[in-house]
Amino acid sequence: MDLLNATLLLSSILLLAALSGLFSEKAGIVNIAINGLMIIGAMSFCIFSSVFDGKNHWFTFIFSLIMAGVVASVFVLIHGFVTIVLKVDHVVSGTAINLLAGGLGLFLAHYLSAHMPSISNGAGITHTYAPRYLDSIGLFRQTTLIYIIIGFMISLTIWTYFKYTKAGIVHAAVGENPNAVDSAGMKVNKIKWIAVIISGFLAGVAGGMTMMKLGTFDGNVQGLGFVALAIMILGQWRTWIIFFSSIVFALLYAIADKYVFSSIPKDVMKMVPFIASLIALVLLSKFQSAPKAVGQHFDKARR
Amino acid sequence: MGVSGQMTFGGMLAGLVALHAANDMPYGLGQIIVFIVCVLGAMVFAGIAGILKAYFKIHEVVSTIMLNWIAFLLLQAVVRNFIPEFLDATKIKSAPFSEAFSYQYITTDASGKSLPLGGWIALGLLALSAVFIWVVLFKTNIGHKMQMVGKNKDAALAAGVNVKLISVFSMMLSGAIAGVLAVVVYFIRDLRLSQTLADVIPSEGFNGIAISILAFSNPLAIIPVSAIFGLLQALIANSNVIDSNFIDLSLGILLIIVAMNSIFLRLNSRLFIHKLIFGKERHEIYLNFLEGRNNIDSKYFDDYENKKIDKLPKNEISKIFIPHMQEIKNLKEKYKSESLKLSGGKK
Repeated sequence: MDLLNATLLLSSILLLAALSGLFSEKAGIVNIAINGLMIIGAMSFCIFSSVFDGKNHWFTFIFSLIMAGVVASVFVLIHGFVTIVLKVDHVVSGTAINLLAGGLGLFLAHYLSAHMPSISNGAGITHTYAPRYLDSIGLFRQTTLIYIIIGFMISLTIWTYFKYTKAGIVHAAVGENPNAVDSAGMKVNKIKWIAVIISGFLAGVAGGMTMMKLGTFDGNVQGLGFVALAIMILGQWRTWIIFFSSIVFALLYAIADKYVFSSIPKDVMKMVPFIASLIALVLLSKFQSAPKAVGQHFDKARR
Repeated sequence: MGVSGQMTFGGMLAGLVALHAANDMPYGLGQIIVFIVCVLGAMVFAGIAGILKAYFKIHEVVSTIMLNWIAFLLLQAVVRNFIPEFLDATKIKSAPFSEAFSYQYITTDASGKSLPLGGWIALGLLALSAVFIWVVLFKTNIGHKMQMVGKNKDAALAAGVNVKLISVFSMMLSGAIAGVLAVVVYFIRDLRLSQTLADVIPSEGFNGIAISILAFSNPLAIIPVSAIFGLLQALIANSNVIDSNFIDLSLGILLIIVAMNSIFLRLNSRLFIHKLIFGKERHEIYLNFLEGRNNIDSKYFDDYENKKIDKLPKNEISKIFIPHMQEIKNLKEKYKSESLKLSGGKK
């Protein structure tokens, strides 16, 4: 069941990254930096899993995933500072962070593989879980099963958060009309900071998961962050549509990757998920539901 | 976001033309055909994103990312199936372009030898494109409308601008420049269609966004900024001391500092450095001096305003001006003596 596992692995990566985008956009902050944050997450997953490789593999595995998220959420503080405090255009800041993270990833991958042979395999830095990826439970590989369960739990939590909790409703309101939230006596910037940091955490975990797909880290995550951004918009900023569209996208992608059709070239097959999501966007274009204040700076005086 | 994809698409079409057309056409015609095909192809590809944005309200970031991937995969498919290819471990390459189409050796000197003029042509194309965009944006009617749409869509609509058409047009204009980039990348630098086999979109387009941010979106400022960036890249790539992977990192650091530029408007660095050098007590005296000078200035400012000083004869002006300067001079001497007293006679 290669196809099933490839689909679940890719969909859980895309799902978490897209939810990361959702979390910050609901607070009005465009997060183009997801790709960069995933690079940071992937890099720190490699480093932590190699450095803390002990007898208890599952502990190290989960610990490295969490640390990937933590490092990325520290890195995303730059984005928060630039957009919330300095009020620079969000896309500018996101692009800058993407480049910075990409450069840092490339530099560290080559530097560490030259100076720490224990965690490198020649092409870049690696992690200790590549062989264990193959352990399986029934139809599933262990890690894919864990990933999709994590992805499902996080989607469930985020859906509940936005639908039923007071904090979540306030959070969504910040994306729609921050001045209304402000006049209700709540601190808009505090909510924005929390949203950005959690968004960074999710993107970092998604980056850590990506390492199970890549195997070797050589400075990029194949642009999956950008694809996740597209999936977030394809999902119309709603948790469950994001969940299912990431699974469908991953399925199409995995079919193109795993199966060879004699009549159609492989590259054309690989194009299918991208063309399909463009068509889906066109069909869904009447039901756009982007947060109204996304990309705008919060100005207290503009009540 | 879509510059890379538009570049790839335009370059792919032009590459198909260049590798299938006859090589015996008059000199210069091949280059012109390639240029036109690149620009038109990239314009059409950018136009798709523009139409999706204007008529279906699909966010341009998403549609261009998707179109980037489509163009990326299309190039690989086309090179594999329609063009003689040279497989490499890491890159997919087409056959090299013949001299009738590439820009690398465009002239011959007295002895009949070809001169590598590609770099100069690329530089010329850069300058021409930048000036072209500057003229369109700031000196034409349609450029003015583009800026209106960018600044406030609703106001532009109310003023009678066809917002949808303008957004499609601006996307296509951007695509045209991406087509020029395709000429530079595929017909001057690589001299063939080539692409990495790893799933990574070519970075030229993304670096372009970075450079336009560094240039504060001013088309003319882009010329020196991209020249400096190119110099930096070439220096690091040819250096033995610096790791060549440092290029992207340095650009990233540069960019994040530029994005943070407004932080420098917030702190008065001159006063901060003064405090750092001279210490707190002397800094306070200095602040007092600055305040006193401001008071004197504002006291005399009224005089200047009321008496319409620019219309007075010279000797009348000096009647106000000389006491003003005298008072400031006195204040300055007082400040000097105070700070001398503080530092115990030393300067």
